[in-house]
Amino acid sequence: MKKLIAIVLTLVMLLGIAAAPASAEGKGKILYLSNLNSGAQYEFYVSYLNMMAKELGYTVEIVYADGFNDPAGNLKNVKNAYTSDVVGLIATQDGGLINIMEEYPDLWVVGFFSDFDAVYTKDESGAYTGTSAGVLDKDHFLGLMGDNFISGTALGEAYAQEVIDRGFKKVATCIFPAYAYPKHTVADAGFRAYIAKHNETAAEPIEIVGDATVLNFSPLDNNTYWFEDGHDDLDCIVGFCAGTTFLYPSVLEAKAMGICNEGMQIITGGFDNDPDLMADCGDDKNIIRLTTAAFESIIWPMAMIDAAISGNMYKDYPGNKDQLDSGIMIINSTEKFEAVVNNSPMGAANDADRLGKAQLDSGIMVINSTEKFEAVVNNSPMGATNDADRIGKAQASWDDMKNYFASVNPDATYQALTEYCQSFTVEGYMK
Amino acid sequence: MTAITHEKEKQTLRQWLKKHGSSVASIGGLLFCVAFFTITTGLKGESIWSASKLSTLIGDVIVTALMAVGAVFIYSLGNMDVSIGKQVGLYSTLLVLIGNATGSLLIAILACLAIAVIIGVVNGSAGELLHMYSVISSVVFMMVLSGVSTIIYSNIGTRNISMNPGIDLTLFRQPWFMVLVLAIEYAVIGYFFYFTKFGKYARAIGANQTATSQSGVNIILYRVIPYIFLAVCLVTASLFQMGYTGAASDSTGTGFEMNVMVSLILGGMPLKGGMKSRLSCAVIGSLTFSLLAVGLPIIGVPTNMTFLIKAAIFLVVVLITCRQKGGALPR
Repeated sequence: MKKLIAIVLTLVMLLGIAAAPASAEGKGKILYLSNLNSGAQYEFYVSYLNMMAKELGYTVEIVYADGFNDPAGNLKNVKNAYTSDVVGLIATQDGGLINIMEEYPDLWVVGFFSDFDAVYTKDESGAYTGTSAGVLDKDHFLGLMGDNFISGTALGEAYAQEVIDRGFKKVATCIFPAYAYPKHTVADAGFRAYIAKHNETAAEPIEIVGDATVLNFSPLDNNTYWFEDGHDDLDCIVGFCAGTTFLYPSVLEAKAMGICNEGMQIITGGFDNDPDLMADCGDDKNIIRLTTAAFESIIWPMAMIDAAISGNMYKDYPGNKDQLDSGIMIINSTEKFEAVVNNSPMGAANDADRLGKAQLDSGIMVINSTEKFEAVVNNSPMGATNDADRIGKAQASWDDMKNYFASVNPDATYQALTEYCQSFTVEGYMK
Repeated sequence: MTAITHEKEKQTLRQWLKKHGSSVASIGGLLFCVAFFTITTGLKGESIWSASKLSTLIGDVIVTALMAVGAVFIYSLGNMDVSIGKQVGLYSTLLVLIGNATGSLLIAILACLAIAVIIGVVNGSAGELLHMYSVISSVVFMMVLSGVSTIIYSNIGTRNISMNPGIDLTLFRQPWFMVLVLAIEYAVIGYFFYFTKFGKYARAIGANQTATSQSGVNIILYRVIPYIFLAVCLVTASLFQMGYTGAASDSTGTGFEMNVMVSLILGGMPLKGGMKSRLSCAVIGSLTFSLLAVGLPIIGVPTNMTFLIKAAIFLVVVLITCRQKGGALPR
């Protein structure tokens, strides 16, 4: 009995210690529904959001999104975290978003770091058909800045260009199931079309071996994959899926077993600050290219939420008008692709939807050389170990960004904010 | 004389605690959570008993409690069913698909009940007929249903599906209706569990299957019936799970079997089943689990810390309630 009492008292103390002090008086709390719960990217987002929130007079609370983007799971997690001072939600998952907005109609919501297929999926007639498409009818939904390319075609073409530039002659692709990640299938098609176009004029055509291998959220199967026709001597695997997790370990193992081409390399997306993995990225390493959202792009959702909450919405916010040039989305030539990805500070803007809810590309980081990998590890916030270091290494300090916030600068514009947030590239870390 | 009386009283108290230790711990844990969060959320200028938070709490607890009430029957056998989550996922999906196709929720419910009963019969009888641990057949079902779910969503071409607006689901989001259904389910299952041979034999099988069998009890029959009770409870839970958002996804139900297990253990359910199994474990455990989920964020505990605290509490309860001589894990 004494032990029981001791345990209970210990728990009370633990809970007391864990409970944070009451939040300071301010403009309210912004929830960040995060699809990450650890890693350098997550740490940076938390630090950066807290820095911006502090400057603007908010508090930020992290809510973990449902691990599988289940509508009920996301709704439950937000409801559990919701307190009377919550004024905004930055959502990185779209499952159940319509239910969250119906539950809290006064909550300002903005999307970030995700494709939001449940919101933006259209049928052939152009009508939105996703389970959360209803949020587009709500004034309190402020749009989306996605995770690098919104357009699957643009992503596929970008990877195809990398294959061409690198001189690979025999490649294969991997995707997640189309029902879960429709963009991958589009990207794969874009990739193949781009390669096919290249082959029309190339002296030595590039062979794409077989159809895309669909990984059912499990790693590439070394027991079968390399023994299928043409896979044992691939030059490159293009992973539209999360290749650092689902391809890289298998490839390492296959190379160790000698069942694949020793010189084979991986082109994929995402970011992983695992030291061993990062040490294996570069011109002559196993991972030749990573594509990820620019970390500082998280300024955009914070600025949008702040503008809405403070009642200073940008004068040029598209509202019900088509604001963005849908032509920019059609990136169908090498010149355009290179201009957008490698040279332009604009990034690639996607077509605004018919209701004027912008679905935007984030700043895009193309990490495809040893120097760039080293720059990311050594100079970017991803290599930092504490909040001050993270914020110090970011491409934008509060002084740099504050004039893009409508509550700080009444003359700030939506277009300038968007362009600013799309302008961050890996080259920014190389200066 | 006084010393002897005092010693007798102490012995009586010890015996009572020995007999009801897990009940004291589980109810005590719940009361502690209620008191703690009532006080601490008040200090934060919030109230866990406000209308909105109470609604959140009931919404959080309902699905787990509905499943756990049915699962008590299975755990009383000394078994566990790890296919619970996948079953709820499948039934939620079928409710949407059949509901949309027919325009009738009733038809969808009946179809789900039919499938659930078939799964329950196979799940309950396989262990005894094939001479294997019952949990194995539930593992098989978990994998099969996972595959079925993948095929369904692959064919549909999306990860989320939602019920047509024509079918009104608002009733399933009403806290009073949630409480009413839970109370009815508790009463019905409680009747069968405590006042009929179905419950008595189930607990007897959990306590000593050999002795129960030698008493003339049809082991297969009385192992199957609890799974049928669970099947009905799972379909009921699926209705609320799907009704919560009017949608289902390929991941609906993921991990629910663990929620049920944690809730039952927090509620003081003996893992080896038997005569000490109590239906109240389901509700007490689910409430405690949800109070932690809803209360901790209000008092400012960071999300990552809530997992740690819940895990620590779970560990403490397991250490208190499950360290019994000859105790075994469910199988």
